[in-house]
Amino acid sequence: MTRAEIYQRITGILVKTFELDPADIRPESRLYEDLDLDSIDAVDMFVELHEVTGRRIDPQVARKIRTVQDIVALVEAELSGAGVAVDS
Amino acid sequence: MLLIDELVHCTPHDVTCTVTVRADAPFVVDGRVPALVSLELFAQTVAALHAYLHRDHPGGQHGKLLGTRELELAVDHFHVGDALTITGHELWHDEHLAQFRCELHRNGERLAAAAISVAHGGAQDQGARPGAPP
Repeated sequence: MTRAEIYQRITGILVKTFELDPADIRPESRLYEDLDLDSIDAVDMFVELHEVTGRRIDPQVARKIRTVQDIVALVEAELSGAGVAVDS
Repeated sequence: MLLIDELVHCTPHDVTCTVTVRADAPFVVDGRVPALVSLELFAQTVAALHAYLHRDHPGGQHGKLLGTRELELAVDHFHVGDALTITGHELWHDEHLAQFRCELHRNGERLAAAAISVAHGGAQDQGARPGAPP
């Protein structure tokens, strides 16, 4: 998947799973403050990301995710086999 | 209020419990219990796994059912005498929160399924929060 395709996939997950308005989702959107997710939603998201990457999301990495772009970077890194790319 | 009878199998990420519905069991009315009780059976099955895995620290762990997704009920009720098997498969966890895919079967037929999210080990609502301090 290209980065754009990953972004579309992540956006689709956010819309479907959390009933968000696609117009509200931007790469820089903060999951908590801007999209109003909570920690239980985050668990749902990590399960969905497992479906995308085929790998269980490391909790230490999950804790560092703040924005939609962070998710895209994580998925991109996992799919490329490069591991974690989320800045701490 | 313990609803399950036995923990019959578990690994660190999977668990199976059983229960036979008794006439004097909680929620039984006129010989049947609403299938919605599956949610509590799922929660207790996951709790049984957690308790077993932490059996060296009895009393030091507690948990909460936080929510469910994709609850499917194939029947409205279970009946007294029904032998039910409940399974849980861990989908993801960190030190505070976890999600399990749970199913309930009777004689091999799936009667209920759901994904449940749980807090364990005295979790606060911060565990998997993106951006939360480590």
